[in-house]
Amino acid sequence: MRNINRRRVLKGITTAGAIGLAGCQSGNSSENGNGASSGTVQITLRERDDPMAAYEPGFNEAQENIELTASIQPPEEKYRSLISEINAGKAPEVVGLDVIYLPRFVQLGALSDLGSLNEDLGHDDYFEPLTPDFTTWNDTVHALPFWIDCSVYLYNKAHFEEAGIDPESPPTTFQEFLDASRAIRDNTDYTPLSLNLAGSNALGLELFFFMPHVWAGDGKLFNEEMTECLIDEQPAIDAVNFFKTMVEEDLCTDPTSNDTWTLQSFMNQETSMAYSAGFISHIEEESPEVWDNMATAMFPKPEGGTQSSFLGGNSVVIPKGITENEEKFNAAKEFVRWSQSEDGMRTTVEDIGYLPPRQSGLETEFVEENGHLYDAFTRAMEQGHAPPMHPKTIEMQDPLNNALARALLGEQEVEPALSEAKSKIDKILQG
Amino acid sequence: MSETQDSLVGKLTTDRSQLDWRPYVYLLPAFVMVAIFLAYPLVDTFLLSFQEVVTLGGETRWVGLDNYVAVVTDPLFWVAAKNTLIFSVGMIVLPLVLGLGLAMAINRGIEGRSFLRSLIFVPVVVPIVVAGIVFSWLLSPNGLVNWLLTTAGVIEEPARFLNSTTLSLPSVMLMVLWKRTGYYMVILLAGLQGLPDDVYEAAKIMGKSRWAMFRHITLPLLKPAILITLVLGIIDTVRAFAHVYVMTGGGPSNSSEILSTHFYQVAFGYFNFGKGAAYGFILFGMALVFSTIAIKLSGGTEI
Repeated sequence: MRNINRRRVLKGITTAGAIGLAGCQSGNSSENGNGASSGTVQITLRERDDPMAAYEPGFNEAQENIELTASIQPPEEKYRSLISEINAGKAPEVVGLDVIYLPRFVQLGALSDLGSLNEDLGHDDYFEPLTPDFTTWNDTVHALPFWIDCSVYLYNKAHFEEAGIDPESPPTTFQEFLDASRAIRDNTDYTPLSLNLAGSNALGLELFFFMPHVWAGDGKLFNEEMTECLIDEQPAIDAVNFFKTMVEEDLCTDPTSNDTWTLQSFMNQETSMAYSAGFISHIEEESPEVWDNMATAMFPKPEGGTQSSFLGGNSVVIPKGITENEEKFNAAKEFVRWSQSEDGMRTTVEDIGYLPPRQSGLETEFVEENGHLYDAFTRAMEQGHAPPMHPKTIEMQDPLNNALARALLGEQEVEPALSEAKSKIDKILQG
Repeated sequence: MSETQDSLVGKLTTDRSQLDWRPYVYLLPAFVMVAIFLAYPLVDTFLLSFQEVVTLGGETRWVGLDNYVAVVTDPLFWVAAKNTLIFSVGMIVLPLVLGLGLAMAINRGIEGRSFLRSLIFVPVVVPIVVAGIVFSWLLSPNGLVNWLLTTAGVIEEPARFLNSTTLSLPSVMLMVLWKRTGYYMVILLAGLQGLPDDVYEAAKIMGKSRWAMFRHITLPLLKPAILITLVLGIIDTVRAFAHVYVMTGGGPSNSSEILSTHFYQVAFGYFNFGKGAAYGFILFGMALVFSTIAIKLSGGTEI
């Protein structure tokens, strides 16, 4: 009896082991031991938002021997797990890396050299601010621009008409913007502007929405050598004062709120204008009436300045360990190549709703049909600024965000608040 | 060697040869699990706290105590430490006092005590993220609390509870108080129900007042239960994260930043892994020291 039980136990262990080993194999039965396959090479793209899953069918339709799987993770989870995966040599083959993280990942030696691929591609129509800022670090190309996001404001033309403002001439200067906002406040029931730029859950918006107003006045966050912060200079003071007036005169939603999704109140027609990213195509489905009445414009500038925008978005990178598997590395490079192609950029613009890295990506029928919306984006791509590319930029957002919050909440005067931010950022730069 | 020593050595040898290994074998899987999932990460993180990660998955550099120095010389660490101390009032003191009061009321046999006990315990089972989101709605400028206060004429304009440098931390503490009171109440109620009746009867015969009975009988006998809540409270305070992260993100302007949210930012926001590891061990040390102090101050009662 005892022997029989032992035999059964051994059989059970053997069976369980076989099942376990089978489970360790890839789902693709055609793969061989080193992850390559006799037919199809499987690669994974790590991205941050659900719409980016559209890259999966877009790329796979154009391929015979490579199969891409989109792995979507929200930003914080994405970078946490990416670090662990790169550390363990198990990173996804292709990653859409937020440009703000690029220098830190390069510094950590986490990215492959894409210099030869970039030369092979030889595209010469990238929007100027994107290269070399989105691609190069220490003279080495580690990334290529993937999908671009830039900051503009949206406005409701019907609301403008109701307030007695010409919808075809949206305000372009700080003063014009204040006047238009006052007209909306006084002549309609709408709140003039949806805005968030200093909420503590909104880290990043101080660069995305605030800095273009500083750049518009020829101000900068750092000096050229990136050894000193310049955020206490006059262009930044003027920009904060502009927003402070908006807050004090009840011309905008609370810009220090923790609710970062300010576009909702614009889509609900509670507000007439909204500071927004380039991802707006979803409005057509969610608020068709707003979509029909909507137009875009570049952020206002101080008198004599030049309108600007923040060019953000993701660069496409291949983590370092991938180079060890030639087949996977080649497949990953094929995706990068496709992402820069007309077909890839069409997916970015039409299926996902972001902006393409190259000018030819905006020379399509779709963009032409929606020219009233894309004109401002096209100008923003030409006149905008890439974020300051420093490994500690992420760390420096916090003092700036805090300074803006204190100034806009009226808990500290503008100049001392910016001066404090400068001092903290200088310490980080020198640290 | 004497005869007695010889026999003792012989006995030990015999005992060792007859050692029953089965209990150790049974414990082995658990031991392996603890070693893999607890001991190894702990030791690895401890070693990391003395290193700087130069490249991911590759080069590290020994930096001695630099990471620890960087943490304690960071002004934000001390802001977060002060906030954590204030936050501990909401995590420990207030719910402990309130929980004790409720436990005593329920223990006294008030009407509908089963229902009341369940009602007070419900917040404990609500996930912290859900509680944080609900309180964020309640305390938002368009939320119920502002509506009530403005309707009642207490305030003229809606208050910015969550994005005010003075109100953000107390707002989080309000949610914590709601969430933890029931937890402490259940522990203390269990303690109260285990107290012997004869001591109280003797006190009554001696003509002692309710306050005197509470002070000289209830509190000393309840000390183990209070100590459990205190130690758990200290550990939870040091570990508390989602409470603040969901409601205020530590802001505005770091006004509600506590040690764990700052630690998270350093380690996973700025990718300073060595400094993050040092921060983690400082928090671990703080939880250990404060818990030990609490146990010592209470006279070393066993939990």
